[in-house]
Amino acid sequence: MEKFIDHCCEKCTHTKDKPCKDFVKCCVEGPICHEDPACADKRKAIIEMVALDDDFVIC
Amino acid sequence: MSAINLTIDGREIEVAPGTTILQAARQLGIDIPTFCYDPELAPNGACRICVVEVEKARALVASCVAPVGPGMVVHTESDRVVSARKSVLSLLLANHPLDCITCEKTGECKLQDYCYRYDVASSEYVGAIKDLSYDDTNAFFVRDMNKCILCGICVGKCQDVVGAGAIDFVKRGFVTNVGPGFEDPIEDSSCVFCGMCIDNCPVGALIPKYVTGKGRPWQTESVPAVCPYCSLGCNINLHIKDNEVIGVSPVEESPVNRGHLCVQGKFGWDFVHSGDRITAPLVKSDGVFVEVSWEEALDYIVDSIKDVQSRFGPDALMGLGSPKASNEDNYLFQKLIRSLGTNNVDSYTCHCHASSVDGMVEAFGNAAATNSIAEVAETGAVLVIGANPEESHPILDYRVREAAQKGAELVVAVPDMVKLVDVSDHYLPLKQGTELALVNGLANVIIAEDLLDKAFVEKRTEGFDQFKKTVDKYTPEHVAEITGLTAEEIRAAARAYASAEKAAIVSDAAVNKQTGGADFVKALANLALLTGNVGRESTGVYLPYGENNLQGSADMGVHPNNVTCYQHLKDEKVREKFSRAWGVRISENYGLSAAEAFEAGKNSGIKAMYIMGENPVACGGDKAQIADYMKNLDFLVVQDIFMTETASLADVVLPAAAFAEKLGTYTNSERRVQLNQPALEPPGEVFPDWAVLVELAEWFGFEWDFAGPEEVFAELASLTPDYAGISYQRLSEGGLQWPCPADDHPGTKFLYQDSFSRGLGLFSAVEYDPEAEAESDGHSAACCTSGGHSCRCLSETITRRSVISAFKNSCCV
Amino acid sequence: MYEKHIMICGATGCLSSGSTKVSEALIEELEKHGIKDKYRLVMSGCPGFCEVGPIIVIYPDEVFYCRLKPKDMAELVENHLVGGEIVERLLYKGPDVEAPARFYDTIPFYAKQKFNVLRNSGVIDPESIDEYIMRGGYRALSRAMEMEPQAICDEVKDAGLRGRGGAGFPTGVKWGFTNKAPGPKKYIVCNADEGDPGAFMDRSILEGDPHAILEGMLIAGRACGADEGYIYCRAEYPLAIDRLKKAIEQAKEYALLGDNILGYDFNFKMNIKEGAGAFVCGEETALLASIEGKRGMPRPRPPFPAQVGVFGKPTTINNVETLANIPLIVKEGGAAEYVKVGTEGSKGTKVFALAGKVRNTGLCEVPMGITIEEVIYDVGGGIKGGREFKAVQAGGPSGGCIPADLLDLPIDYDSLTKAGAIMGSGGLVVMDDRTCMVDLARYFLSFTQKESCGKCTPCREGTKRMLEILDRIAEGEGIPEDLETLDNLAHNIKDSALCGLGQTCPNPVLSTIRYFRHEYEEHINENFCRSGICKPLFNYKIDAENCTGCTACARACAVDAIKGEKKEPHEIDQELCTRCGSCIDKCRQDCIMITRVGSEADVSN
Repeated sequence: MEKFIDHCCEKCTHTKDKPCKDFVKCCVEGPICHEDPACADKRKAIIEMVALDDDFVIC
Repeated sequence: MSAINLTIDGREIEVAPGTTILQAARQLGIDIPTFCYDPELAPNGACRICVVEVEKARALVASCVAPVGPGMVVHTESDRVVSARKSVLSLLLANHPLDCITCEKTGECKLQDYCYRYDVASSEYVGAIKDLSYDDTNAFFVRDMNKCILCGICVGKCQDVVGAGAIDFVKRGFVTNVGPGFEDPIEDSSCVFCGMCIDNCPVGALIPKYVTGKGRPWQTESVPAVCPYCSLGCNINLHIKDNEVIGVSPVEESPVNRGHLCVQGKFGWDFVHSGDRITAPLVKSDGVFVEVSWEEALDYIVDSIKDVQSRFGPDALMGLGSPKASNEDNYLFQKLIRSLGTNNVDSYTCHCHASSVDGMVEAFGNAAATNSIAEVAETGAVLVIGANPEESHPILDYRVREAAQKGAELVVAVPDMVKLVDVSDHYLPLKQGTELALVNGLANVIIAEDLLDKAFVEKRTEGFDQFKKTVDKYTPEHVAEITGLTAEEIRAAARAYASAEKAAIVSDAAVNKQTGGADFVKALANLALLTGNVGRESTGVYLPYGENNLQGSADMGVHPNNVTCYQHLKDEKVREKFSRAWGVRISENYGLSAAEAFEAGKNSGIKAMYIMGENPVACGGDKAQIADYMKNLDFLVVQDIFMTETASLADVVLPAAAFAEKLGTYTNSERRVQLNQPALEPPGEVFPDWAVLVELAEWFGFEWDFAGPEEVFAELASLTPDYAGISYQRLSEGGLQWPCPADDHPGTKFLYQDSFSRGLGLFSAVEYDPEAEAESDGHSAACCTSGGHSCRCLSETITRRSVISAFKNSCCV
Repeated sequence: MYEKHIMICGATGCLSSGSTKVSEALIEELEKHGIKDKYRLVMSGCPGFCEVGPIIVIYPDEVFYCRLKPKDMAELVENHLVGGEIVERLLYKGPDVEAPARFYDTIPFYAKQKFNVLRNSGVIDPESIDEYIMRGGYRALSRAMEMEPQAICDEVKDAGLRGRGGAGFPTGVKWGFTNKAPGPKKYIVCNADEGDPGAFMDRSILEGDPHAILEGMLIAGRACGADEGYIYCRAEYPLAIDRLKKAIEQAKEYALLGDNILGYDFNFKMNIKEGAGAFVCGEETALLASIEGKRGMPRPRPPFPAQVGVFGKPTTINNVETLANIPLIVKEGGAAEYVKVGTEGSKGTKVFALAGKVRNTGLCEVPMGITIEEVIYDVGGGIKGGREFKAVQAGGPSGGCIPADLLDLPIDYDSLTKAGAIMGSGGLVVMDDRTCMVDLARYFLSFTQKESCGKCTPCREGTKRMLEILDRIAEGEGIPEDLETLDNLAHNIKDSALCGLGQTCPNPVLSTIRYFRHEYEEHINENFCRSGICKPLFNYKIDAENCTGCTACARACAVDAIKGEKKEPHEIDQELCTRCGSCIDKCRQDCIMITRVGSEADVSN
């Protein structure tokens, strides 16, 4: 998962043509539709690449 | 919504919501000055001279755009307002050449008037003055942009009313100017020289060239007349000084043109003063024309005609009446010819419209216009096909634009791009000559998608089943192949026309006889019948004619088969009525039409011709053939204002009066009979046509007793039920649309409200014939007018002798 | 994972100061050391302190390097990145700090600022939608999708947001009008034409945080019932346009633009329309005409755009900064936080472009209610060269000046209007005693005269006549009646002009006459421009007592008008002097004075 738009796993359904209502919150705080620490880690990895410091992310 | 109460200058008034302060003030008779306000244009609010003080508002308010509000208190001449107005005037004056002494606009200039009203004698600002263009390179008018106050009315008229879009604001700041793109000379732009900008300019920035140095507004007399060019018959004022026309302005309140004109009406009248005018009777002697006295000429004519008729019979004489001369002229003309024992009376120019007449008569029973011009502006959809009103009938074009601006859906089906396409919703660039196929295709879609007016079809028409069977094969796909359009375009156009509550068809009467012109008109009538779009206001089929009095000359019986208003000669009662009234026996045989005569050539049986105001040699199909025909006649007399091609072949030429020189009525393409006042004394030995005919009739021994055209009209009205309620007295208040059967009848705006002239409307099963198209000389059924009248029918007789020939697009009448 | 994030300011201001070459040099140095892949390099948005650009900020170290040149990069890389030592020489230094300041929190320019609208500028990569989302982006939109449109209007209204384009009309109320207008087709238009000379607040937002505008417009669309938007951006902002285009593509990909946004029954299509160089197109009705493809000329109102806007449909037009505030308000708990900042009548912050004779020029965002004095002296660092504060022009060509005795005026819509100025879009031009107020009025008026669309008489002709009078006064040809003429004309123009441009263009004239009438009178009656700007109205004179004969002025003079021996007092030949001012710039002794023409009476400089 390189960008937030990429799916974290097959459970993710968000696409341009069939969007998910929770998408925005899910980018940073997800996964929301299912539980999976590996998926959460994928998100954290994206964030870590660009977060300048600990206050960078705003929920 | 409820009315709004407000107070203006201490006076209370109640008006409808949406009324502007200016409109409310005008209702109270309060005169707020304006430069940029025009009721036809969208609110501008540019000049700021109309500002008023509204209590509780922060700044002054432009009254021309501000809507009234409940309880508003307005002061139109408070100190604050006057200060602002004086400031505006002072600013305008600072940038305006003070040329009042020689400026053509003196006496009619709003800037001058308001400076006088507010006592602004000079400007307190001394500084730069703009140095802009003075464009006088074209033949029609001068554009002195240094006098322009940038009110923007000319731009609004040009872009929104006329649609020519020749000018706009250019640059900005102090050097803002109005003109064509890149400041080209105006004649290199899309200007059509309609004169609307000139007529509405509040100052002297736009001045027609014909006026320069000729006189002051208070030195001229204004005489109401009817434009002599196309069949819309616009109302104009001729400005006369010293027996000369020195200008023309449109009549603001005219129900026909409403203050609008085109290049012909505005500038085309100068042929009246052409040096080419024939001013005395001429007789050909040894191949050369010699001026003779009226007695000599009339004597010669009577002798010659009597001689021909005694040797070859009364039907050896043929008369060609004039679609340009007045009703009185034409009525007396056909009366004379018929009194001489033959029904060989026709108008050759008419033949161009004969097919259209045939088509309409077949469908409705009558060829007269179904609806009035003004109604087009209020319709819900317009189908323009086989016509280019921008060139042939500009006022009609303006109304179509107005309809589009008001929300009507506009379908333009023409082979080549025309300006009307800019404001259209559907542009169908069909292949030239395939119009009939398209119309059948539209009918096919309307039936297939159930968009027809079933109640109307059932109650008011006949022939539907045969018609439906025929159009069944004109599917959009099939028609698309023929016309080069797409099926979807065709469907969309059909829906646009059929779904509107009111829809009109705008075409042109000049359809081509050879290539199925009559069928094309019948197809148009089919569409109107199918959707119930005839017999109601703002619907109908518009087929305007080319000549100013083509309708009138037809109404007057200049036709081999009928007398006035299509009363048929086969009807014994009709013959009897006229015979009794005229004191002569009218033949019961139909006469020859002009087309028939020319086609038959030497075998036509015609030996003598009397031609009034027509020029068949120059406007006919086969010019050489017609010239030969003329040469082979034993006797030819032509009555005209100029030495035309036909007149040059005559034995006798009688001079005639131009429209501005005679009293008479003309009937336009919406059946409106209008009175034209004489503004000039005719030159030389010239008399009006009706007077010549009366004189000639006396020489033939008939006892005609007419003191003037009014009496002529009274006689024709007494014999013509449709004209019975019309008189000069009534006409002096304004035109009347026939049928007008009684003195108190208001005239008829649109026809067929309850029934058609033939009872039920008739559907015609007509087919597109590609063979006929292929054989035509490039002029297809509906093409005569797409691209102007230049191709066949009209001879350029007066156009050539007018300044308007400098403008390439003018209708070549 | 990157070791550090190197944020290089890539906004137009620093680009003009040479940040491209700086970043190229940096990359070269990093490659030389073979360490380029360890660091994330971002051309970021504007951090605001344009005076000291080019700027590079390094995270997580929290070091703010400024006034950089390409040749500094070698040291930066070697000492800081490789060696782990901060390069003090490249830190912020100034008369307002005792020691070089390391980061935002110790730089006085930033002390009184509050970053609402500029929250992401300089902090994120403007071309990354993910970073925008990480910083809370599009949360407000998600929340708005679950709200009733009228409720969104009410929330914005209650938060007290007023239009940041200049007029200060309550945004929530404006949205309410469009919300109530009959549909189904409505538009949202973003006015990104930013025409005031010297203003670049909107530019920085567009370049540095383009998604904030998209989100603001989407929320506006939801609140007003609109499904299509236009961003009208002046063509002179190519970087902003480029960023917007990229942002739109990204938002489309993420289902935040287009059909069924986030799966809701809400569609929104975004268009960009480039301006074509007309100031008047910043006026809302002229802007709408321009979008329609017509000449940009204002239309009378009513009808207002909320009823009849672009293409005849109900339209909400908002300024860039206004829209950038929206996500802050509409996000969860945002409104409650928002109203804590600002004054009763003017909530929130305002971005100002500080320009002119102030030490710290650049972009600053301050809470409403801060005084002019605080902005000029605390944020702005006071007057350059230690000269005296004379006035500050607020609101550009539509605004007025605020003199020294009004320094304690709080910056909010109503206080400024009462003083004869306006908030405007946020341009603040600071002036010292070497600014001529007549010339200032002339400068703004020549701008508005050129930009006048020409439609209405008072503006088209009136600005020209006012300018002619000012020109004459500046050339020594003024007459005493001129002031009354100017006053009358200015009031008539204000009273009767068609649009905001015309109605406000007399403001600079009226406000300078109001507060600096004596300067006008001195120009007219005494032919003297004491600020030394109007060339025919003063002479330069060297104070012989203080002149040390350093010859700096003589060497600077392009026409050899200054004569004097080394170490001897110099003298200016008034016949040759063109009063270009090069000498007075160079003089280290401050001994060149501005005097009346041909007279001994002088003004101490």
